[in-house]
This record gives sequence, structure tokens and C-alpha cells, in this order.
Amino acid sequence: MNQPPEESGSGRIRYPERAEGLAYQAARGRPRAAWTALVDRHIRLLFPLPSLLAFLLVLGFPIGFMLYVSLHDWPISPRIPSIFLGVGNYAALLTNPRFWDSLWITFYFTALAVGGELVFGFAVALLIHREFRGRGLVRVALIMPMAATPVAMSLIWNMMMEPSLGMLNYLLSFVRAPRLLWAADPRWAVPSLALIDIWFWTPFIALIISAGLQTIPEEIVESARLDGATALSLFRHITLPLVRAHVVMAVILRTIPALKTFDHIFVITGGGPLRASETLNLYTFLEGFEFFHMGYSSALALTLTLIILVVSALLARLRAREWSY
Amino acid sequence: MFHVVHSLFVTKRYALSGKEGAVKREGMLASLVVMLTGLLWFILAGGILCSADAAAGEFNWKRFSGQSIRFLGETLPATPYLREKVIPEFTAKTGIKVVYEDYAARQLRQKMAVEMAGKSKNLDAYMTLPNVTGREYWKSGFIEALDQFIKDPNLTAPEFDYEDFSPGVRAICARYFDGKTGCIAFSPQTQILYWRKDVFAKAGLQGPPQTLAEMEAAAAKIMELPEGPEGKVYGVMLRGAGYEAVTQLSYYLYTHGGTWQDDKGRCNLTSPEAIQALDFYGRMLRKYGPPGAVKTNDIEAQSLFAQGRAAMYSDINTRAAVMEDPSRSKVAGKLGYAKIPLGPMGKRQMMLPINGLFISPFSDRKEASWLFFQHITSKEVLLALHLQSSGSPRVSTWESPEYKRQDKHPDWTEATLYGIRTGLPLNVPDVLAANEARTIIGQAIQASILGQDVRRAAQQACDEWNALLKKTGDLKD
Repeated sequence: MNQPPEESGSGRIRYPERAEGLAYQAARGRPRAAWTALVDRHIRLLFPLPSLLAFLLVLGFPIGFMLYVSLHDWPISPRIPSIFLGVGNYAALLTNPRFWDSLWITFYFTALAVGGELVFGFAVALLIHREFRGRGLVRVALIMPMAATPVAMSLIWNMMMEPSLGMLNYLLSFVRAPRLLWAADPRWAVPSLALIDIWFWTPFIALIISAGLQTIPEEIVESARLDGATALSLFRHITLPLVRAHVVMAVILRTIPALKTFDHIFVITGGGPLRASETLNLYTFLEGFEFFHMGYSSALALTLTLIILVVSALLARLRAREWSY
Repeated sequence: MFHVVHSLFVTKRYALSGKEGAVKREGMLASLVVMLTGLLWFILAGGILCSADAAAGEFNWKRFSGQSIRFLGETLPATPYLREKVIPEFTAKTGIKVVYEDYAARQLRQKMAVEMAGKSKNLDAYMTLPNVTGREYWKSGFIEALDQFIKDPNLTAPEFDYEDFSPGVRAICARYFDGKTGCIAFSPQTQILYWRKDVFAKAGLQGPPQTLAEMEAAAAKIMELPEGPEGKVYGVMLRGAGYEAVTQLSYYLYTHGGTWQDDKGRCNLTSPEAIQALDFYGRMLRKYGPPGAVKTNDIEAQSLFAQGRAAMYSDINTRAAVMEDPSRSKVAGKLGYAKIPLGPMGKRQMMLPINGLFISPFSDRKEASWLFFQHITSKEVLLALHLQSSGSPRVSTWESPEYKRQDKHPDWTEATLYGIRTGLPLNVPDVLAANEARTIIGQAIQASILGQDVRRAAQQACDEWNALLKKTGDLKD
């Protein structure tokens, strides 16, 4: 049965019986029908078909349906008919200052969070790159925030940030720093939320960059040292350029989720106070599941998807760029 | 099709009440004949039962034995008692299993909407505030009218006695549903003032404040007290998170003489009385409340007060159950209860939101849910809950000698009863999109707490709300 393929006279490979195409088997003994020839010719399209169908089912259908809903005034009640609006929802969205505010807050949050994670992540990566006792233990401990349940952690952060009873203000009182209102202050709400995001995801960036650091050949570092490079110039001219690809990758992998962050914003501020932390994703949620404007909410969700796609495409180009060292 | 035929059979069995043996044959014609006979019997028997009160004591609680219903409820101070005692009792009495899920009010509304939109047959009954969601749910077809059950002596035990529910709460359960009864009141939640006797004594204050001006003066005096070993005690605790705070503002708004809407239905938050109320509410929290109050939701406000962080707290009456429980509260035994203080015009206006029990029209087990409602709103259960400061919608509870004998907090009883007797169901505006209006008004409250220009914030809220009112058809130009 399991003979190796043999070369036929015409130069085509003939496969042993079991490996022959279904279509060919079915047609054997009869004159080859036109359709089997067709199937044989397009077999390379036929095989990925099931996964393509699965893809359409789990991704294409929801997005298509969302697009359809976004073109309607779509009440949640099965009793009330929906009304076709065309691009009405999109027009309403673009003229709504709340949309533009939430878009700005989304980018502000993402910049603070990803920026902070990058700086701290790099620092932690450099730290754990050195040999020291218990390094393995530290690495395991680093993964903990990522492994924890986001909502449970958010509730704990919420308690820690409580202005009168919370742990953070208690700690601040030791260094005689003024008490902060944290997420209860409209000016501090987004930075407080970004701080929590930084706590969650710094280890993630640290691990990626630390993997990058391990790829730097020792010889280069050594020869630079022999040439009298200081620690700073070593970092600037050797370390940084050589892990740049990893850094860009880490930034891409964090930016996309940061743009659509939901859990801890919802748990801690719910978008407040005074809509100060209402990101686009949160606004979409409120419109959809608090007020049940499914059409408008779908339009918002599609817009957010589009924005994330554009940002990812831009970042991907950054990654593809050839870096000159 | 199967469901239709099946439900015919089931209905018929109820009607025949124990004479199921008559129904053996299958087939549409036969079942139709039997059904008509059953119907006739049902009408006759119903008439006899109603006129002669003959069935008293013989109500068949077991007839839906074996069914299982799923109920979504709000997390209330009464929830542990319901779960551990009332539901097992109900199952033993009827043979009906109850899957009881509970969520915080806001999460509950979100979950409800998703299940209802999917016409979930899996959800049989639920609890919600009719004045917040009633109109919207009724219009959307999420509510089964209950009159048919209440009037049916085969389905309603004689001891249930719907007339025993206070007229105020019955009116609310009929207010939003085109004159039909949409819900059974479970817990009326009027607002009262909680005050700390020990802190007031320390500050040299006599008794609870009688007017809002006295309330503010008391708060200011308490703020001057030196910080004790347990930390700072603030003057007052109110809900600050905009959406949650709206229901609490309602008392101060109406007590100041303001209203949500003017006589044409437009937003009335820019009226001088409303501005005064918004300013008072915000100022109290800003000057005499714990820091960061703008973010405190209902549960957080309750916890902070139970932790002893404030000397006064105004919120719904049912929170006393938590406050007086030493395992959940540091202030148990130290509290006095009072009516909300009088406004500048010498009047006060109470509100009476109630938690109602509703049946889903998509459920196949409506009758079993109805039996469940009868049990958890029975005189016995409501009395037991009431003795735990849950507040009963039944008149008989308040008048029962048992309650009068065991009433440990007559001041709580007086304040709550006052709210139940005089309250309006206007703790949120009576409009179709009440929930959305809440988030808009909440913005003005938060602005006031943060010390921003109240007039401008009220104007902004009104602009947004009026636009919404026009959109939902509540406001004609």
C-alpha cells in the first residue's frame, strides 16, 4: 500500500492507490467526467475550502451582519421592526462630539499605556538579562499579572485606588506626597487606568525584549567594550539597534489590544467621571448594551475595527521597513 | 407545533384539576373536545369557587411538580435569605425547582436585554424596577400581564390576597403597562436618612436634622471633629457616580420644589429649584463627603458608611439590613433612622421605587413562576424579610402584632412607612428611555460634585435630554 510515488512515462508523478484523489477514484473505470477533471485541476482550492468556510462563518458572517445592522435603526425588541437608514448611523457618529472625544481618549490611553509598558518593559528586560541568583524565580513572578483574571485584578485595583481607604494613598502618605483622587478625578482617570494597564502588560513586553536581548552576539558586546564603549553608548549603538525588531513587534502586539481595552476601564470608572475615561470601545458598549441602539452601536464597533486595522497596517509597515544601523 | 399542542394539553390538565385520567387519547379532534369540556368546567368551577370561596385551604401547590424555572434577580440584602431558606421551602412545597441567579442592578438590566432579545425560553421570570425599565420592556414585549393569573382561583391561592399589597405599590405595578398589572411588588425601596448616634453625640448635636439647612450645618460640624483612631469620619455619604446618583437626587430635587420635567414634558433641570437641588447635592458631597465621591456607586457608598466613614447617609431603606448586621458592618447598633429632612419650602417629597417580579412572555412555565411569586411574596415570607429590615409591600406585615412586638427600630419603621404611604414613583423620570435619561442627568450631578458651573451643566444635560425625548416621541415640539 505504502509504496513510494513512481514516475510515469509522461513525467507526471503517479501516486499509490491510497493517496489518489477521491475524485479520481470515483471516476476510475468510467470515462472521466468533466467535473472530475475540474475538481482535479482545482484541488489546491478545494482543500482549503473547509477552513475558508469556517473562517467565513466565524468572522465573515458576524462582520457582515454587523455591517447590515449598522445601516439600520435596529431596536433590540423582536416586536419592533427595524428601519433602514443607509449611512445615517455613520453620519450621526461623525457629527457627534462624543465620538470624537472618545476617539481622542482611546488614543491618549493607548499612548500612555503602551509608552509606559515599553519603557518599564525595556528596563525590566535589561534587569533580568543579567545573571543573578533567583533569576528563574523572578521570571516566573513576572508572568503573574498576565495570568491573573483581569476583572478580579481590576476590582482589587479599584479598592487600592479608593481615595480615603485605599492602599495607594496610604503608601503615598509615607513619603508625605499629597493624596490623589486617582480614577475619581477626571484629569487623572485615564492616567490611573493606564497605570493599571502598565501593571498588567509590562511583563509581556519585558519577555519579548528579553528574548531579543538573548539574540545579541556576545562578541559584538565584548569588542565594543574593548574599544572603550561606555554603558550608555553600548546601549545606544549596540543593544537598541539589535533588538529594534523585537521592540516594534512588542509595540504592535500591545497597541492593538490597548486600543480596544475594555475590562478594567469598565470595572473601575465605567467611562466616568464625566465621561473622562470613555474610550471608543466603552462608548460602543454603552450605546449597545445600556441603551440598546444596536444600529448605532454596530456602526461604532465597525469604525473601531477599521481604526484598529489602519493602525495595525501602519505599524506593520514600520516593522517591514529596513532598518539601517 | 409540538409546543402548541403540548401547551393545550397542559392548560387542559390544570383546568381539569386532577382529572387527568380523562385525557388519554391523542389526536387533535379528541383533544379539542376535551379541551372545550375542560374550558366549560373551568368557567363553571371558577364561578363557583369565586362565589362560594369553597376552595380555601385546598389549593393545589403540587400541580407543577417536576418543573424547573430560572429566575434572574437583583442582588438585595434579602438575597441570602431567599437563597438559603425561601427557595428550598418553595421546592419542598411545590416540587418546582428554582434556578436563582442574582446580579447588581445595572448588570442585571444588560443581561436581561440580551436574553430577551434572543426570546430566551430559558428565562422564566425576573426582577427589575418597573419605574426604570417598565415602559421600555412593555413596549418591547418583554412582560407578560399578570391579571389572568391573579384572577384565576385555580392558579392563585386564596391566602395570597393581592388586595393586601399597599395601594401605592399596586398602582406602580399597573402604571406602565396600559392599565394591566405587569408585576408583583417585592420590595419597596423608599429613601431614608441614616445617622450615627455616637458621632452626633460627640459633635454635641441633638437628634437627626429636621431641615436640609440643619443637615448641612450638622455635616459641617462633624467635619471639624478630630480624626479618631479609626480614621476620619466625614459629614455625609451619598451616591456620587452619576448614573447611580440620579435616583437619590430625586428626593432632594422634589423636596426643593423642582421636577424632572415641566408641564410640557421638557427637561426642567434648569429651573431655579432644580439648580438649587443639584447644587445642594453636589456641595454636600464636595465639602462634607469622602474624597473621590464623584465615583462612588451604590454598593461603594453602602460599604463606606458600613465601615464607619460618614455620620449621615441617605439611601434606600433596605440597606439597614446590611448596616445592622455586625458581620458586615462596623456601625451596627450605632444608627438612628429618620425621614429625609424638609426642604427650604418646609416640605418634603418622598419617592417610592419598587422592585417588581415579572414573568417573561417567552417562557413555557409561566404558571410555575406565578406559584413562585406567590410564595416569595406571601405574608409569611415578606414578614420574615421585613423583620430583617427589608421593607414589605404588604399592609398586613406592617400591622402584624408579631412585627410590632419585634420591631427593634421604630424610627426605621416610621421613616420607611412614610415613604411607602406618600412616595411617588419618580425616582427616575417617567419616560420611555428612562435609563438613558439617567446617564445624561448623572453628568450634571457629577459636574456639581466636582464644583463645576451647575447652571451650565444643567443646560448641557437638558439639551441632550430634550433631543432624546424628541427622538423617543416623549416630547412633541
